Amino acid sequence: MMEMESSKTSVDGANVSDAKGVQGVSVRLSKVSRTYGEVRALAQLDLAASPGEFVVMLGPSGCGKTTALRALAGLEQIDSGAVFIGGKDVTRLPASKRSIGMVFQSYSLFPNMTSAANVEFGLKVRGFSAAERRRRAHEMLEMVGLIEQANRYPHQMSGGQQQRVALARALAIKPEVLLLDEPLSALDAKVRANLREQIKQLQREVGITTFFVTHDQEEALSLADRVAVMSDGNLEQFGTPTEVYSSPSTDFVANFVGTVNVFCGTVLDDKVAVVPNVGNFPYVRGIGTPARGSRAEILVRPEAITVRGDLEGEYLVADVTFLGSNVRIRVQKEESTFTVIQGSADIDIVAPGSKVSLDAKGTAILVRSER
Amino acid sequence: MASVIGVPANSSGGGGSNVLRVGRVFRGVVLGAVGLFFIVPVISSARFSFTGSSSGLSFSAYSKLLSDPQFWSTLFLSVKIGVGTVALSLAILIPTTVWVHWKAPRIRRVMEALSLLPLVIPSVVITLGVITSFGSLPNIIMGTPVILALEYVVLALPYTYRTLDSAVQALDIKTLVEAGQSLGAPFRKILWWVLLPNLKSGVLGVVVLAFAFCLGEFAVASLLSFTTFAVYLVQIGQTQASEAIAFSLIALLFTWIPLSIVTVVFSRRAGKKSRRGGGGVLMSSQSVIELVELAE
Repeated sequence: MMEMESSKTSVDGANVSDAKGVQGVSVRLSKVSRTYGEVRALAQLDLAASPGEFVVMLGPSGCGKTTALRALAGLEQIDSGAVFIGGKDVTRLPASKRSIGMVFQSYSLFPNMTSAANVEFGLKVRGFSAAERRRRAHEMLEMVGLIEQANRYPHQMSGGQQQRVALARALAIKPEVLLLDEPLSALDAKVRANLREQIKQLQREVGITTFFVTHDQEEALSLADRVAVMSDGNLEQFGTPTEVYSSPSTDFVANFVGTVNVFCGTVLDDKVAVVPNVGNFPYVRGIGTPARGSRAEILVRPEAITVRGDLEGEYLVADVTFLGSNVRIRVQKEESTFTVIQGSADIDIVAPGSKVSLDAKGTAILVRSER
Repeated sequence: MASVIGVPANSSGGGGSNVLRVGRVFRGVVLGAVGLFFIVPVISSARFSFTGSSSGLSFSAYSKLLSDPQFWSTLFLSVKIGVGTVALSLAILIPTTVWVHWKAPRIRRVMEALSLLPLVIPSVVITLGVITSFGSLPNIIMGTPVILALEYVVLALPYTYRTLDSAVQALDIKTLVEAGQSLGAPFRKILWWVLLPNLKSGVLGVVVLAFAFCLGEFAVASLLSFTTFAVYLVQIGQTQASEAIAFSLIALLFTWIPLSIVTVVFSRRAGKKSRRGGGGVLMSSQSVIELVELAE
């Protein structure tokens, strides 16, 4: 099926005038716990979003991110804790009484209704007049660039179009919070990237507090104002994409978000760790950082090192992958493998099987005790 | 067979078109044989019912039957029981199947097994159980067609539950209900505006199967001493052969006509929707046709 995800979407101010009436509100999950039999899905989760913030919940399958989102929506009972929307305790409110708009992972449009009727649904429930419903649905569909599909049924639209209608439907009721549960995961890469941009743009225009669940780190880092990295029902780190990527607070975050190289070295002082024959890496001292002079594992992103052709080098090039403007080089030393990403202009200096040296050029994201 | 028919004409070579032709002939032969198997007894019965005892064409069996007040009273009784059974079945089964799929998908297998019990336990045993267990119930239930409708709801379960269960399974009930809830709709509105329109073919299947079952059921009605349409047919058949055959043909018409109307109406609606776009809805008309065939 051809995806018609071209630049039809126009997010101009006039079209979002109605949705703009939405004021972002603060959202807080306070010590929320949920277990399924022996499995702990959420363990005393604390998470708070500021009004109008775009929070992405990131983590591997089974980490509790969707459970947290559903608890926020009122679709999941919680064992203990509280949920606050706009300062109000909504823990005991059913989903239908919370002011939320939600877009689901699976296509959730009502199959018996056209796009317009789907968008009108929430307004019909709220007793809006037919004329007002039509007007609002028209505006919302225009906002997501699907006004021409207003009379189409879900089965007549592509996946990307269906999710855009679902987004329009969720926003039509002017919710206080927008929840998106992996809305892009069923779409192909191109449509996904396009829709990701549209969602971000719409969120900025409307200013609604948004929670977005994904297991895709690239998606998380590109969309979020703040990323909540979760593992085993716990919040591992909650920070800006830069903080999460460059200063992971736990091993899990360091390994889950992005690629990481683990070097053995020494803690030189409170600010610098050294890897023999590679160089010095500045770092930020944390709770688990070993004492000065101790042996340590130094975690470094692929961009923080460079490869230099060296016939006497300790590292052997295993493979080279051309990525367009960059080149990814995997090198080996004994049993360990390291990844380096550098400009593709340097591609000539390395060939699989050649000997190279590594040089430090950036910071270490984490310095920890040896294992 | 299906894959052969499914081969696009322009992509098949000479061998492919031969296979297609053979497939068509084979299909025609099978359909013809099955058609004859059904139609010959009907034609023979019709011929016999119009012949009667004298030579030449006679409508005496029909006129006698149609002027018999007991014919109409038994038909009315069966229709009444049928309507009651259908209403009760829908009222019980729709919320139940939706709830099972939405909240308790793990017990689906148990529900399926339970729904098949009426096929395993002979209806005579169920009836005797009803008489023994509920004999002391007030007369508004036990001595009236209400008890028959209640029992038919149970006896028709193997057909009705499974039909509705299949229709519900084809929908992503959980997501649809949760989407409705997130838009502020209470469950009754979600059921009425979203689920029921999408379960139309399943609901229709329940209506058709439950009604056909009620019109044709003999054993339980006879044991509970109700003279329903089917019981009266058997009574007549013991003494008046041509009237009994005429009765059977009329009964057949009473089943076929409503079923055909329903099929045609649904096919047209499905056709209109599919012309509006896509063939997804055709599935429902196909399933209705399959159900009608099953009921017949």
